[in-house]
Amino acid sequence: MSLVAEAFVTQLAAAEPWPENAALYQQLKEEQILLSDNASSLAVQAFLQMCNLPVRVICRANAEYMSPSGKVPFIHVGNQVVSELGPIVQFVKAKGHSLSDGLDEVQKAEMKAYMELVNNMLLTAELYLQWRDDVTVEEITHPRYGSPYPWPLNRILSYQKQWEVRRKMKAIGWAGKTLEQVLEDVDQCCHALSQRLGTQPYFFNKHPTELDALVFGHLFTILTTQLITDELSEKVKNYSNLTAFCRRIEQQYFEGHDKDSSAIAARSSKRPLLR
Amino acid sequence: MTEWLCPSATCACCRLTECTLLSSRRYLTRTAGEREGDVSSSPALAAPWHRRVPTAGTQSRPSPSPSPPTFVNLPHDRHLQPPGVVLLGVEAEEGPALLGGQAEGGQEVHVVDSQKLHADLVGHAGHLPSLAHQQQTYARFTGAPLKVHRVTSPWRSPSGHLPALRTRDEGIISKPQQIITHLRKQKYNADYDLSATQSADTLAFVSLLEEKLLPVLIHTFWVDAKNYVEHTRKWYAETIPFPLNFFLPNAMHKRHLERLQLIWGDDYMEDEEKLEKELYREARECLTLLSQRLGSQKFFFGDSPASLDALVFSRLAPLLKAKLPNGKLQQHLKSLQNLCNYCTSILSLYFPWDGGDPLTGVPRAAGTDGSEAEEDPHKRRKQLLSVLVGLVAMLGYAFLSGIVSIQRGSVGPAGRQPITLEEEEEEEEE
Repeated sequence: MSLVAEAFVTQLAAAEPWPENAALYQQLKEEQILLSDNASSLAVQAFLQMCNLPVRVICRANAEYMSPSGKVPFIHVGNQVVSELGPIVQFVKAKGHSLSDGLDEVQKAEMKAYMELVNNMLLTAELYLQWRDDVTVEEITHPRYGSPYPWPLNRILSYQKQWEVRRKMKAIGWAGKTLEQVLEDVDQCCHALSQRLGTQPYFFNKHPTELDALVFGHLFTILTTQLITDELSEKVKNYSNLTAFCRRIEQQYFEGHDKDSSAIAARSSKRPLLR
Repeated sequence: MTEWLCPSATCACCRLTECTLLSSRRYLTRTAGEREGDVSSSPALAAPWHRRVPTAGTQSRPSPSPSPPTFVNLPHDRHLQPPGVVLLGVEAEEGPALLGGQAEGGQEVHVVDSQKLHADLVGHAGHLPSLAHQQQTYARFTGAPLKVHRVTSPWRSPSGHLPALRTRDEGIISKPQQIITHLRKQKYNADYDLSATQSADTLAFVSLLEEKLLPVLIHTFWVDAKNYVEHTRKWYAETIPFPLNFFLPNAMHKRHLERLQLIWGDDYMEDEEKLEKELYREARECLTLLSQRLGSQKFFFGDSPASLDALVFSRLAPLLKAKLPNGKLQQHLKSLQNLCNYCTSILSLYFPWDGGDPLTGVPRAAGTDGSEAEEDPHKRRKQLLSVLVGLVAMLGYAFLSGIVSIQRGSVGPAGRQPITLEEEEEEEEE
């Protein structure tokens, strides 16, 4: 979201409490949403759950085009629309809810660094898999991405998106990577996360932070989504503390609370990508 | 024989990104005990890594005779001798057996660094983003024996790309991440002492730098109109040898611009205010986070440097030392006292002879021999070039006047042709 808007929003937001009818928008769960978008969406849902802020999940085929930044998910709270985890965290903080207040400066720095690690590696690996791996593109990505649209449009939009993602990959130097290298990167990322987590319940001891939400969103989606091969989820499954971490957060924040919103979104994401 | 070649032009910021990223990821996979070779043999480097050298296997070091360090400066490079920082210099290590069994004693390692560009960037006209020298910093931290050759033109690198490392067994390595991997294989591993969690932290902070700071650094040096015209382009134009300096800086500028457009999207590049507010703010935040993480420690993980330090230093030092006309980010860095001290102390510890004082130590003295050796071909090339230019000018003149008469002849009416021919004959007689 634009900066000016952000500054404006932060000022406004402080005044108003969190409304009951806050809504989170994402693509259609069953037939449209892709791995990476689902992961981001789940991360935001987990974050809001951890803050104990109720939000209704609304699925729209054109969610991507509704979002101010062109990325899902986005939340609609009162008069404001905020997209992506980073700005949402700031927005929620302006409302007086923060998960990372208890951390000291070094921990905050580390938290930010690990969040970048997840965005940099896991998210990019998901994008790589779904837009650059030819079999996945043919079998899963194109049919799902174009599913709400009639024939000529679905191909056009899919190829447009694919082209865009591939150009970005090129810019960040992922274009020349093979699938093996990408999986290797994922493995290293998981290794780092696993080391950092150790035996603690959350990354920074007893209390969840936005890092926990982000990691949960990505790992849970990777674990529960059936792709052409399960190489990606196998990499995550090698780290037992990470899978236990996902299960714990799922039980604590999704099963106990209102079922209609996030838990279902999370669980049903298994099926959507199943072929 | 390991030589390090770094062609300035190509190894620019963009390549760095990938390199550093990849290279640092590899560190995580390092295995314990892989650093058995004796790395500490260099007298020139009395620095913390000595502590980290395992004692086993040290005895096997053969002859103490130091191989002459090659410090090759291009001629004009000399007067550029930086008041500030040159990040690349020569490591004056002696050769023996430093390369973990690569050959019997007296091994010479060269780093040819065409990084020069980057290097003196730092030195001379202000200091550019010498992104390429992460590998070199890394090598210094680990105490790997390297000879650095400075090369101004990418054409002089064996691979056509800078930086490049010439090794005896693996040939020429020019991909930055491969260079670090190679050094690691040769038992020069700066991350040997890190715990698993620290390695994980390294990976995380590398991501942070790559995502938040690097694109903004590129923007500061290459895209920001004022900085690019007054600092970066000027510096490159002065440093790169003649034929290349006309188009290389512009080509690099374009490449960086395109890259940033891809990463950020067009609207950021056009909207100055948005860019400043959002991205520069994030970069400043990133610097602040680094400063907080560093705290009052000497290095990021205690008292000895690791690969993360190499990366952070290689990114921050140019920013700190460059004389940028538009230094918003620089101002912020300067306000973070501990990061400034951190850069300065690494400079003085690991690049002592690159600093202002040209009389520091062996490397520089030895460097003169090397530069003379390197000077010759350069001189000859210049002579050749001037002769060529003269010839071309004379030929051009002759040809031009010839053309004039020919054109008159061919374009003119048929009846005139005989006259033209006569003129030509006259000219020939003259």
